[in-house]
Amino acid sequence: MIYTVMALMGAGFSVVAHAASGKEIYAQHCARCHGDTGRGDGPAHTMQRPWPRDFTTGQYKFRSTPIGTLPMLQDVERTIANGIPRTSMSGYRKWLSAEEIRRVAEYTMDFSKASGVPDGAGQSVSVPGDLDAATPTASAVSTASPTSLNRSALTERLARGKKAYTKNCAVCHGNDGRGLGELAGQMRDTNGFLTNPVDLTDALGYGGGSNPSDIYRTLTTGIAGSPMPRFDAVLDDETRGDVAVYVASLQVAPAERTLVSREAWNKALPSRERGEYMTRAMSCALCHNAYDKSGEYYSEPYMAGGVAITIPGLGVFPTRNITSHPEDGLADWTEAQIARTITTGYAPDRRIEAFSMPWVYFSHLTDEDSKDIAAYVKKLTPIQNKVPMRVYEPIWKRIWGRLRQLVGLELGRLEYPPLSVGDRFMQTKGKSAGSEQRDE
Amino acid sequence: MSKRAPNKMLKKMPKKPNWMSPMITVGVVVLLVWVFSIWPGTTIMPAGMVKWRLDQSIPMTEPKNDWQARGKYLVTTAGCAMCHTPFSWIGPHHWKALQGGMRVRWDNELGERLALNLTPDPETGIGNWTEEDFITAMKSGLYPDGHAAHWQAMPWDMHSNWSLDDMRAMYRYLMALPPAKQPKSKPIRGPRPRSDTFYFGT
Ligand code: HEC
Ligand code: HEC
Ligand code: HEC
Ligand code: HEC
Repeated sequence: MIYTVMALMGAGFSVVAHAASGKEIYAQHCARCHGDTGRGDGPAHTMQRPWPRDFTTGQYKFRSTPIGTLPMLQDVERTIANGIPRTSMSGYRKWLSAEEIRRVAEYTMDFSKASGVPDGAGQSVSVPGDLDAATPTASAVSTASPTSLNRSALTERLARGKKAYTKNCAVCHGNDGRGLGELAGQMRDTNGFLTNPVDLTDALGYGGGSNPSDIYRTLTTGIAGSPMPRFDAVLDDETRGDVAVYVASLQVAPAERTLVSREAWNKALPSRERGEYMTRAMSCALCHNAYDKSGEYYSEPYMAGGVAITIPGLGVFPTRNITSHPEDGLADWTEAQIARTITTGYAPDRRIEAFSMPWVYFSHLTDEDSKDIAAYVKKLTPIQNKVPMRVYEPIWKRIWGRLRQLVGLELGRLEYPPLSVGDRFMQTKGKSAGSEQRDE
Repeated sequence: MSKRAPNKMLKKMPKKPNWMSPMITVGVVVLLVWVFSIWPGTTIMPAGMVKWRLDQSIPMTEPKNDWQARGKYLVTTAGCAMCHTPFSWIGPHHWKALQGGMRVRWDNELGERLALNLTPDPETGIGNWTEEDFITAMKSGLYPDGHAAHWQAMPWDMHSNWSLDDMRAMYRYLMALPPAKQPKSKPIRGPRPRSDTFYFGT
């Protein structure tokens, strides 16, 4: 009997030998992003947008409680189980049992207690029970039999919802719900990062749940720390219900989705923001951010270069400082020069080694995208960081190394002074970081 | 008559040794080694030749719909092939495009990681992954088997910036590649830089 229960619980996964405590689960699964102290500063947080939540502030996006109050334990459990798939926060339902999720949720919520945020969740808002009665997808409306749901009532409800949506939500989420409204590309979250309205046609895009009742709850309690307003005072209960039902009806199954057209995307977002999206996602910073001694890269100095990329047998290629610093960076380069460098390998002063920076892959970028990237790179905050030039092995050594390798011998590494840009940066951090540099 | 002609020529050959042809052969071989090896570095090769050579590391599969076209564009430009196509002194192994095997290495305790097979092979690749598995792996480094990849090996922290639709596009393109079985090789411990390694130093 007990074995059956265990087998069921561990279905498909290694059965945990002992029940792990919240702390252990957190250290194993969550600390790499949220940090040991819950500040959202884990070693992997640097390049993620949005940043992992800082639990010490007690601010949670997805609550059933009013804004400014702590969430219920169930709210946090739900987020951990389902994740926020549009961000790096994955759902842990697959890897943790309900019991483990409860423990880690409790542990997570303790961080804000420890930092002095008054304890105690707010009162859960009430959600009308009939909202989820029929999932009002567009197809359900057209095929529903009159007995299973009142079709004309639903149609009316959707019409009312649409009206309120167009009035209140379309500026950001766009008329079609794809997140490309007028204000897209202009909003920042509390960390100062670009945050775009969610594509409402994608059920996976909702962190707080995609059922009408979930949407109703999100509209009522708001999303803390984001520009998305709350609507409990703007829209009455009835209208919020209508909007929630309408928004849920916009959702399209993954298999039937269409891509946003490039024209709509280019029109909706400013060039620099499009460039930011491409630059971050294309991992430029994987090479152009400095690493510290332990091998982890810094959030600062962002894109200031200094990683020694070694091609054994060929040379050492330190990544360049591509911020717009006047002496060390690209202040004198035009956007066109940057775009040309990354797409053709022809920098103004030399040719880029294709094995150090893979410009051949970037050469497939459309003109539009490479211009956007250049526009973004050009506006990076200047950071002082002089990076030494690349060094090639002498040609005879390259051939000699090749021959040694052919017979299975080791390739020596080229003697190269350690860059340790990170250390240097840390000493001068106060001076070099950020905007003061601009004024000098 | 017609049978004799070749015999005549064969008889004449040894008398007039042609020094041109071996030299041409040597020349061609040198040129081939030059083109196919990385030792000269790419900056002294014509840019077009470099592009032609490195483009071989990107799969040639033709996209069949909008999604796959977008996916191909993203997989190409985001440089997945930089790490996921094996590479040695003869350059990228184009016959193994996106089948994994490139070594990513650091000077420090992170050591060496091997990029894995991205073709839809059910055993050694991502053939059994669902779209959501792929999105989770790309955005948070968490694989279906529960192990988490290091973000500086597989840069999922940067990839978490891709939108859900862009991830779907990549997945749909990768699933359209011809599946290939490619057993994982072993990381090498200790200082042994090789030319199939992408080497990050500090
Ligand atoms: C790969 C990085 C990553 C890992 C691992 C991770 N998270 Fe998150 N988490 C995030 C990000 C990013 C956000 C912020 C999402 C947003 O702002 O929309 C977040 C948000 C949260 C939130 C806040 C939800 C809200 O309502 O605001 C909770 C709670 C949370 N994570 C718990 C956990 C727990 C518990 C674990 C471990 C089991 C974990 N996370 C592991 C990246 C991660
Ligand atoms: C000022 C711009 C703005 C307006 C107006 C706005 N939103 Fe949003 N909305 C956002 C942003 C930005 C996000 C992303 C929040 C985040 O990622 O933290 C968002 C997120 C959402 C989400 C996703 C929540 C989740 O579960 O992850 C829903 C649903 C939503 N909005 C619905 C609406 C509806 C319905 C309206 C109109 C009643 C509306 N929004 C009006 C900007 C806006
Ligand atoms: C694989 C690592 C890598 C990636 C990814 C990478 N770079 Fe580079 N980048 C380098 C290296 C190494 C150099 C120096 C090459 C040389 O000197 O031959 C360089 C040089 C440059 C230069 C020339 C700077 C100068 O002062 O000459 C620019 C501009 C640049 N990178 C921009 C970018 C952009 C934009 C991206 C993202 C689309 C990017 N890089 C991605 C490694 C990388
Ligand atoms: C800096 C090198 C690098 C780049 C660039 C890179 N990867 Fe990876 N990738 C890796 C490494 C290393 C692993 C293995 C990680 C591990 O498990 O330790 C990996 C693993 C993966 C896996 C898991 C594969 C499996 O069979 O389990 C997927 C999927 C993946 N990468 C997709 C991508 C895609 C798509 C891109 C391009 C957008 C990409 N990667 C770019 C290095 C890279």
